[in-house]
Amino acid sequence: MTCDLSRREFIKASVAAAAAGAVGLAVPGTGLARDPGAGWRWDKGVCRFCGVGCGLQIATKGGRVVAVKGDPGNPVNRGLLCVKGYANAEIQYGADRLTRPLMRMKGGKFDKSGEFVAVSWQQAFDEMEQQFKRVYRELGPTGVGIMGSGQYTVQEGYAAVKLLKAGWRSNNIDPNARHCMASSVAAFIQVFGIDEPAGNYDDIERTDTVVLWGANMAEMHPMLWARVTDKRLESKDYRVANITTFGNRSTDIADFEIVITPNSDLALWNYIAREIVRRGAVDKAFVERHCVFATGPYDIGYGMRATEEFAFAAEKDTQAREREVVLTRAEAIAQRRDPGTVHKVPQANASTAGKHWLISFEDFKAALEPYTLDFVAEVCKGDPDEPLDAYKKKLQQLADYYADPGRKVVSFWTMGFNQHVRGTWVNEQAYMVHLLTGKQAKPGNGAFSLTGQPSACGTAREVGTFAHRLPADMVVANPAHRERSEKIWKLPPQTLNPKVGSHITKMMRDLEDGSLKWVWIQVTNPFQSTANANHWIKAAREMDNFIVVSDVYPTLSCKVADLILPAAMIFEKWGAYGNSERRTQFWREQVPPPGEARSDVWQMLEFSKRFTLNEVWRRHEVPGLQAKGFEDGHLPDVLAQARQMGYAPDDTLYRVLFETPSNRRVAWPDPVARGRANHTVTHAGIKWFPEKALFEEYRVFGQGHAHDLADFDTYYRDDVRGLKWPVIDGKETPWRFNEQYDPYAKKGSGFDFYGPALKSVPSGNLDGVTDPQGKSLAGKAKIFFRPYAASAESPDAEYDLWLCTGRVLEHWHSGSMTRRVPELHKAMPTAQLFIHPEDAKKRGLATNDLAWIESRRGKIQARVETGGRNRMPRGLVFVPWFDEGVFINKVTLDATCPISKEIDFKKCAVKVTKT
Amino acid sequence: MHYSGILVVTQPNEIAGCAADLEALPGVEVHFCYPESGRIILVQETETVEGQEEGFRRIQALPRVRMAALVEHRIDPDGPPLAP
Repeated sequence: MTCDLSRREFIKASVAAAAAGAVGLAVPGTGLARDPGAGWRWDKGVCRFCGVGCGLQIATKGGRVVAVKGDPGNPVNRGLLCVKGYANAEIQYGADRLTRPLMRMKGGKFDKSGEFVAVSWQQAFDEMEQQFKRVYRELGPTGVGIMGSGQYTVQEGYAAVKLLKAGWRSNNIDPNARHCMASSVAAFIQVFGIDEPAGNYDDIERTDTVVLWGANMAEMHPMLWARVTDKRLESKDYRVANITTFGNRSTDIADFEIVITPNSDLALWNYIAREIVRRGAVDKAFVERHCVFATGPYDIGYGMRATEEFAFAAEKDTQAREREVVLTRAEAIAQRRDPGTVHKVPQANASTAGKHWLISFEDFKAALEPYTLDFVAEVCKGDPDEPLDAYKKKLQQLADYYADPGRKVVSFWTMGFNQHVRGTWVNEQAYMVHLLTGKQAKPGNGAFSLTGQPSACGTAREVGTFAHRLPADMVVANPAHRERSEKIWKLPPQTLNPKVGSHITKMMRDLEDGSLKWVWIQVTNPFQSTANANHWIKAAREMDNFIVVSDVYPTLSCKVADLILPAAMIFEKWGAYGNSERRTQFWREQVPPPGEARSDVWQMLEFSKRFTLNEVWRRHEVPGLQAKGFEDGHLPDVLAQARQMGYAPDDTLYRVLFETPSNRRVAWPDPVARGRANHTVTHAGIKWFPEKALFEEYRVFGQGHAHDLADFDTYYRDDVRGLKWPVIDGKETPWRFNEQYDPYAKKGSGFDFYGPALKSVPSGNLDGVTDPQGKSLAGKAKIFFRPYAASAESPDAEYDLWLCTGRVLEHWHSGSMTRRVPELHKAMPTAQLFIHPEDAKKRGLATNDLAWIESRRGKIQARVETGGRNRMPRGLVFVPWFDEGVFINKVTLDATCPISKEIDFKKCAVKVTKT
Repeated sequence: MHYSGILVVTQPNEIAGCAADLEALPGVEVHFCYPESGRIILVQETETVEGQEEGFRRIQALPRVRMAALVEHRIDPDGPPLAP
């Protein structure tokens, strides 16, 4: 016992000393002659969970992870982790971990109505291949697709894009990241012509004002919040404001909280912009030199289906708003129309929502005129119990922060902005205010979109695992981009399909209407995470289709699938993630995957061996394809050109896309491994290093195109903790577009918004285009005017409450991993319905009662919580969406931002009743 | 056994009270206090990983705790269970 006690005391002393040392605190005394962890093997890594990208040090022993610590050398988190840090060590060892392929079988063969039976990889791939080829023959490239993820490693996403776009010639690949930050991407492209933030996390310490817009950073990005907290406590002049639809933990250290009604952020930004103009606070020199003004159509719909054919009876009234909208009084005022007249507005620009044109500053100023303090306070005030005068003072205070030329401001946002029927607009409005005041792309000044997923930036966006994208911000619809990609990939001209594929919500709709029949779901759980889920689950189970899910645990999507493939987890494979500040971070395989689980890269390489060029590079029908140089409705046969390039018709996609001569030269074993294993290599029986070869090939896309990445080995150096791209001559770029920091900004420009996309734009006024001739906007950013607009659905007499959904700290995404860690599960065992005590009382409900939550689309039960971490205003309820047992996406609406196609999970109308 | 090293930040003038609150929690030992910066390093010892998170949340919920962060989590599979 003495020995045990001393061992225990020794470990504790060692942990304490290590913890103090890790965060730069001096350790009084010494006496730590031996670390009880000696003999463990430590290596650097990155956290599996959110988009912050915290650095880890991982210790392994005997094939298991035995310790995890925040990496003190990592500038993101500086040695600290949030509660999910515990999960990185434990996540791999859940009792229900998938370790064998499982297929629905009856009588020894595949049957869609059968039960899951363990099969070999050979059997699994045989059926998967047969089903693919059946669908491909029937529907061509548009009949097949991949649903991917912002949790893909860079290499996984790249392999998936290449296999689908270059191999199968389909563009139906889209990530769950569409639901996370597509609106921020669309706005980056519209405003700057290039994706991703200008600034970095050091803005937290460099600024003196942090404004949160629809971002509960305290719970969702705790390690960034730790940095905000630190600065707030040490600096008297540091200010924090929290703009939200309900009170949350981020308010705890904020100077004030502004509770707004859903969608009214659009009005609030315009009030701030109006104040900036009215007070003469526009940074004229910055705006005149670096910006132009723009606007676009208002009648853009809500991204719903344009037909009622598939709608439930109760949904039809909401669905009809896709075609025609009767403006609310506030919308009429916000659009400078007579509020006393009924305005029925056909949604004529639903499919052309992103078009825009230049306007004058005078037009811009006139458009802002209706957004007075009185009007905006009336539209925005989200807590009916808050006095109006006090509310107005807070709005003025907020405007003061932005307008004060002596104050630096960083605006952070996440899902409150992005999951929004006008998500692209509201992102653009943030840039509107920051550009007007010249508070953009400078240390401590900037509008900064944070992401939710660990590689939403690094993979989904940069690699381009979207229906319309190619790597490095290129798009399939652009012939020059296709040509460049075909050259890098060594494909015959016109191999790539110019028709944009289906975004992830549309893929669900395609399953429902039978235009998509084969889907491979990787690193995601879309049947839980897509709104209006009753439709999609029915489609998956009842239609003629084949659904494959690669995952680590049996998620709801696995249950919906026909075939489940067991995947390897983060530290069981080699990989890289890119975080919200453009930092790309790599890790080595640390431990072997259990049983027959294999990396997604292995799965794709193996499956690609089952396709020959003459199956995929022949002529195909592609309904709706129209592009210069292509026969309408068809992709050409490119086999003749392929032969000239040295390919044979019976070459496999594996040989043509993956085990290419140059990739074969990237040999395994590699000194960078320092003796660690690579199960992908071992099980593929190959002598090349796929994760390195794929990365080296991928980074060619970005070189010289403002997306430069360092070489693979650099990221594994002991002195490197990821690098923020563009990486030029080994140096990362801390602030983009700013000549002082960004080598891509022209010398002498001061600021150069050099993004190339959408930089030739017609001119007009607030009513439309007057001069269709495109003007070149090289080097400039666009300041958009966007009006206030109501949500796709609002509370009414029957469905009388707003429903907002979101995440909680303990769970990430659908909880498919965090829910396996018992301590995380225990923290919030069942999702709750957060509701104001009076709203609960009116319905005969009290905390812990079971309540029905019902919309036009479905109903579920949850436990009532009238107190707790979130403070709901009357009229609005909140339900976290992680819990399969409280399947809130049966209730939510699949309306999207019509530009970004990102679902608005934050707003629909529900009724709550006692069960 | 599971051990975690946790950093707590409090107001410098509240550090003594905050350390006392922390010491009163099961499995928690305050190891180092830094009064000038309001920082405390503690070690939490639990039999299970479940206990770690529960304890972490208890720490976060203390009124004088402005911020708590996990610095290191060690699993000692060979360690004996805690005495009753």
